[in-house]
Amino acid sequence: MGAIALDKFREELPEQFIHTGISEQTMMNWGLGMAQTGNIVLTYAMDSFVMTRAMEQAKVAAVGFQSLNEKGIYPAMNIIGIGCGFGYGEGGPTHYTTEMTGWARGIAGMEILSPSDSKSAMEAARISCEVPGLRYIRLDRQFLPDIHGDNSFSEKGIAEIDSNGESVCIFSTGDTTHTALEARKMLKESLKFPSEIGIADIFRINPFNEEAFWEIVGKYPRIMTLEENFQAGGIGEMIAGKMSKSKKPLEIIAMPDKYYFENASNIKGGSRSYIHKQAGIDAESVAKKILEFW
Amino acid sequence: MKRNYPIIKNLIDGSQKYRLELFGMWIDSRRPHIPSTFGLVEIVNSLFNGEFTNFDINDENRDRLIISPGHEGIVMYPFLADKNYISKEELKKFTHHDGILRQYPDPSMPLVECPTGSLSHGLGIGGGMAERRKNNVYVIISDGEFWEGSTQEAMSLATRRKLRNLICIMNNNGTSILGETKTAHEPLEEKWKSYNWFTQRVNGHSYTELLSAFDNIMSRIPSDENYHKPSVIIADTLKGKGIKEIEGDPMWHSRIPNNEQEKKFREELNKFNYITNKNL
Repeated sequence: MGAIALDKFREELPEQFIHTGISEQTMMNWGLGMAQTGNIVLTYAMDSFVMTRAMEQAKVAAVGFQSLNEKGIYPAMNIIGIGCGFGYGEGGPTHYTTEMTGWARGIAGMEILSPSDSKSAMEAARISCEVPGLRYIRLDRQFLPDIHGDNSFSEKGIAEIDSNGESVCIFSTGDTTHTALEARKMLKESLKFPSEIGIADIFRINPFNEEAFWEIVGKYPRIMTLEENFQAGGIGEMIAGKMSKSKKPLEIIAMPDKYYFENASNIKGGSRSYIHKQAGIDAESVAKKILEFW
Repeated sequence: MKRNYPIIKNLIDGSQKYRLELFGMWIDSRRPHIPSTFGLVEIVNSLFNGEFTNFDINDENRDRLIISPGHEGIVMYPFLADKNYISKEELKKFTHHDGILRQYPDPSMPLVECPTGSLSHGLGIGGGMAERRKNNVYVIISDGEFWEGSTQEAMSLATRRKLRNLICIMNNNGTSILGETKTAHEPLEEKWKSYNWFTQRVNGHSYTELLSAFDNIMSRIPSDENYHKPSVIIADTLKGKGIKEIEGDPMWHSRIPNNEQEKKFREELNKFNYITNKNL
């Protein structure tokens, strides 16, 4: 679909580019047909529509993938959404995708990648072309600075960001990992917090690497989660599910269960950061919640 | 294309043979949807035995067949057995725990290309398959699926992609689970033509009409105005074709015959004569 990001692809590989029109459902069906006849398929559109508009088609693709896998056939189809979360800041609720972690997790066999910097986005691109499977990749619309030192996030699915933490560990993904980093920096600079906070970035939400997860959890007495998503089905609930047998305290920071209509393009940081403040998922609110939780 | 007598005879005999096999599955399993498949027998028989397709499972470039309304996909099962892709025993084990044939086909079964059951995915998936352009992709859709937006999306995209190897057969039986829908989608030919599909309309129980429609599609040459278009054959059919009491009756979408009806229907099918059947 029309997007500057695709110009190079369109110019260099015109034979491999199909403009499906504004028809997400058919793009998804078409993709399944092409994938099972041997193509590596990338479907791309705004995150607000690419899969939300075609949830049942995505489920049918998952059903198809499972039965083909059982036959020993391993197709590759990637559903790429650009502008996840509040990425389209001024767009309003129709353009926000604060449901999608839960919706996508609800489809059996749907791999979910959530890159948080250009390094992890590059890695997601490599995986999409080299590794078979049905995969949903959520890309941020904004440029996010590199935070991963090495590529261990790719193999493990979760990676701690420069941490020797020993107090609270925040599990986060995508854009909000940067919020967590900022909150950590704030607390460190204000000297309000006695010890180092751990931050773990979830690159692969599904399938979730429990082994790597417990390895990180083992190092911390308290666990927090942070996401730009409703709590329903989000990473907070996912982790709560994993931790139901653990006695460690867990605090979930997710979006309140409501839609936001905020015009704030003339305020520093724009609508996205304004909504984060309203919703209590900005760095300052997160820092406060860490203090309360600790 | 001229077809010799054994092929024609085989097709004609198939009309009765496959109906009886489907009927047997209906009675053995006591599962619904079999009457819907009776309306498709001549179409699917033409595809499997009309000698213009290649469904060799070992050939990666084989033609693909998608029966998009999954509840009608059962019609394929006797053909799969006939071609030795499954054993005849499997027909008796339809929907049974130890059988491989399910109520709605999915790719775990031989020659089934995609999951169906949920309506109106087939034409889009078939379109994607046709992108390889190395074979023909046959997609049977129902008139009921014409309600769905995704069908119209796929119709539109297939034209744009010039998928001349995509062939849709619309099983226009004018009946859905809720009742008669004969006039719901008319004028059908105009609609398909307006999407720029190579459109033909036939009696879906007539081998002569079906085969000549398929032949018209296969014999297109580059100078034809229809050469680059995807094709549709609107096949007017009768749901439950072959058993008078069932024909066109939406109540039989999911009803199971009692013992008395079973006997009567079986007798009727045993007498089924393709040549003299007036409605064919």
